[in-house]
Amino acid sequence: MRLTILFVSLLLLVRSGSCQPTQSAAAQPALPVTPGLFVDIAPANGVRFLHQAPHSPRKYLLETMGSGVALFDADGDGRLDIYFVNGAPFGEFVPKGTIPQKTDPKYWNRFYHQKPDGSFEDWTEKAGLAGVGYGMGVAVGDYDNDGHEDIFVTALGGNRLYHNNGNGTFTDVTEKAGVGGSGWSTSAAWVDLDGDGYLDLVVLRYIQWDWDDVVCGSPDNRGYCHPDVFQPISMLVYHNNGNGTFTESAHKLGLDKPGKALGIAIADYDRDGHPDIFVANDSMVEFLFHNKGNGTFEEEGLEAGVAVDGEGRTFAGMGVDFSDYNNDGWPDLVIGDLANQKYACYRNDKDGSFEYDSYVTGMGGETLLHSGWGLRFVDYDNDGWKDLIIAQGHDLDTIEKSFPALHYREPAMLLWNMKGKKFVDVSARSGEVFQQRWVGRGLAIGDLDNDGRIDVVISENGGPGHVLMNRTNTGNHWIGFRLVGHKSNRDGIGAVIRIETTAGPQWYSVTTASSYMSSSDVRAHFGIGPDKTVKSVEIRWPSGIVQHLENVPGDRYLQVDEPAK
Amino acid sequence: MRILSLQKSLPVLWLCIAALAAAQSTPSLQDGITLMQQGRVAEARTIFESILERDPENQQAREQEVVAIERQALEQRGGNHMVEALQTLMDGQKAVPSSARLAYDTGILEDEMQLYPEAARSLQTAQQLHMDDPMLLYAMARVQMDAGQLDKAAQTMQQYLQQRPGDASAHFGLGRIYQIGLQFDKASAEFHESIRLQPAQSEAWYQLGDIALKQQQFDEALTDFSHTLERNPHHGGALAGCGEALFREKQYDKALDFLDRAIADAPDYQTGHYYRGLTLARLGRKEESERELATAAALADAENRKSSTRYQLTVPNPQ
Repeated sequence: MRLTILFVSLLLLVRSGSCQPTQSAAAQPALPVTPGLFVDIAPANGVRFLHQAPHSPRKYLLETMGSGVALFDADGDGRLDIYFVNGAPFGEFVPKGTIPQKTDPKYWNRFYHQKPDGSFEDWTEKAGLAGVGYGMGVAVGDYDNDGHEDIFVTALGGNRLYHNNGNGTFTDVTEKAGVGGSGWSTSAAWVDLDGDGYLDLVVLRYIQWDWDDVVCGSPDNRGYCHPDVFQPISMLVYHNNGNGTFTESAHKLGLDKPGKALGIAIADYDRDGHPDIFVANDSMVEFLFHNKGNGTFEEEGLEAGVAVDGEGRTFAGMGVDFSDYNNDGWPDLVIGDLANQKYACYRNDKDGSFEYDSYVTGMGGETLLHSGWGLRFVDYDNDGWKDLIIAQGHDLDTIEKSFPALHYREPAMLLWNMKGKKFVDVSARSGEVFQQRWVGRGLAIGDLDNDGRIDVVISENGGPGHVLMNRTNTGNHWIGFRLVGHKSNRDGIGAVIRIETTAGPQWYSVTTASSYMSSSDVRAHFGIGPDKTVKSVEIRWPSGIVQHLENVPGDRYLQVDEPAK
Repeated sequence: MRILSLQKSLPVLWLCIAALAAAQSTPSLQDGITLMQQGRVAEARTIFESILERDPENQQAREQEVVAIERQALEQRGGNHMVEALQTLMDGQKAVPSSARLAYDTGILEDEMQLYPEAARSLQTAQQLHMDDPMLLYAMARVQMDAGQLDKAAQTMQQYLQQRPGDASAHFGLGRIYQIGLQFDKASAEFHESIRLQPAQSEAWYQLGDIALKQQQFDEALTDFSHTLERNPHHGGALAGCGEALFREKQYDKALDFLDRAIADAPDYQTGHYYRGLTLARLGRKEESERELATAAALADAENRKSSTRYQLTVPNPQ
């Protein structure tokens, strides 16, 4: 008997799901596709961030996972600023308990203030935002409702809360607020969990990890370990006491289920008026925490059909967005994962459960060979359908040795939404930036030049920051909303905005969270196609107040204050 | 003088005696073959290698040595001693350096060990050694498929099919390559061709059902799976597939029936457990559902570990 016979029988026995990679294959749509046009203006416009991530021979997992980026208006000048989180140096042999320190300005987190001409100036030192430790993620929210966006930065060994002083500077209030935490924190989200009008803070943690020198792979091809090698850990949830302090309440709220959490997104998936939480876990079941409305949560990922893929397999959940991509009023989910796993797309079935739609939307075929981290739904062509942009790159810097078809460095991906039915890869036609191979990690969206076309900022692991200006050639119109809560939290985070155009309704849940370790513009944006006016707007505030507007002219950002009732 | 002469001639004599003994005890090729028949493969290899040492061009010895190496490697592989099996094949290539077969076998084993670049190199070596067997193309396609080079894999399998167009298993294999690449139309065509060539099979129907399921064409999936079940009523995948299709059509009682059978026939198939857990939840059997979903999650984790491109722990080295 020769090995050949065995081989043939093995091929015959191969089952769907137990096999290896693949390639893009979705059918081209019948509809005309609008490609995007994105241009990286970072270095020419003063953004010269270079992420520091030492890659050591010991392959400490930490070094390949970060870091994130934020887009927010720090000084209230109406222009978005950029904040990149950065790593820190460490040697080859690192004793347990070590917290790397930013020993040189090149390790600082960097804050770039946008000037009126659209260029950026480095305000890091002036703003007091250089940071400490080995930074990971960032979450932006006005936790004290003073009208100025505050910043929470996660890291290994302790996180930092920076209070916005209102003049372009920040004060580290971590100790007073009591939100320092511990362990390896990743993504974080600001959300008012109990409806008291103050943003609470949900901080994910990845794994129980402390510079363990564990050898994975082979001696001549050592690589970053599979997360199975490490134990899971609970997230931290800080209840905002409304006086500048917080109380850690994960256990009390039922949110202390141990996971290997990397990505977080917030939406009211069952439309019961209470924000729910999705947590993307790495290589274990994903979590969907349903807000029971009584101040506690119940994890329902498996029952809801979002814990595993359509075949019941777990995947390496990383970045996530929780938004209504098919304009039916119910938030859907997309989760980035590693190559061979297909990004997970779950359509909300309107009954508390979801359908795994990666195959029927074509997203599975488009993403099968890719590894997705930061991602957001974004209507880049303002046609009224939320498209998807993804920062990509494998976590293993040696992946090509074992899998020649997979890549550590990958171009970002842009998927065009074909009326909520299919996603079509338009990357190759959407600008040179989608040809460049990056080690994509963080991704934040926002309209940097306030032209109604949403721009994107991407951070790399061990690489430069990228500022992708949206120059898509479209005659479509748009509208944006900056909510100002009064009874609700001032950012209006958690509010659901419904607009009606001649093409039908659209919904948007206000959030700065989603993506991977990143924080996006708090303003809500809608593409409204050929319409110049929005027929009606309905805003459901977190307080329960419902506000209506009629015949609202488009092509502008509208500040909407929460009414008294 | 005589003593001296005897002293001088003694070593010569001993040498003559030793040579005679050696000639008389030198095992023959037939001895090696006999040992092989007795299952004493390692001893047989010693004989073949000693013959080859004396006569490197001895074709019969070369062939027997290759057969012995293959058998030894297969035994090691059967005992799950993969590294040892690979070592045997690699040592064998040194003993019989121009053996295309051994290079081919090495490639197949390396593929199984997920050493894809190495497997590709070994099969390339076999090709360079003029291995004249279409199965080499088949093997190359498999390695390319496993390494995620699906375009290449499809091309290679098509080359194989040009030589053996009537090979139903190759059409099935090409279908799998397309299916993994989510090129469902092409995959379906190949599976149908495989069925046309070899109607008495269940697996291509199963894959067709799986494709229909992924495209949410549930009636078609049920039809395809029923073809599988006609030939193999205990096909866990097809039973689970029927269960999943019926679950998605919200026919929970019927779904549960299939899923119960699926789990009975394939207790480790996580998809069956997962949909059974979901179905039980829809039927209001919450505790059973939770148990089943926990089982599904555990199986899913195990599957994730197995299929991951990431590295597992090899040497624990706590500080």
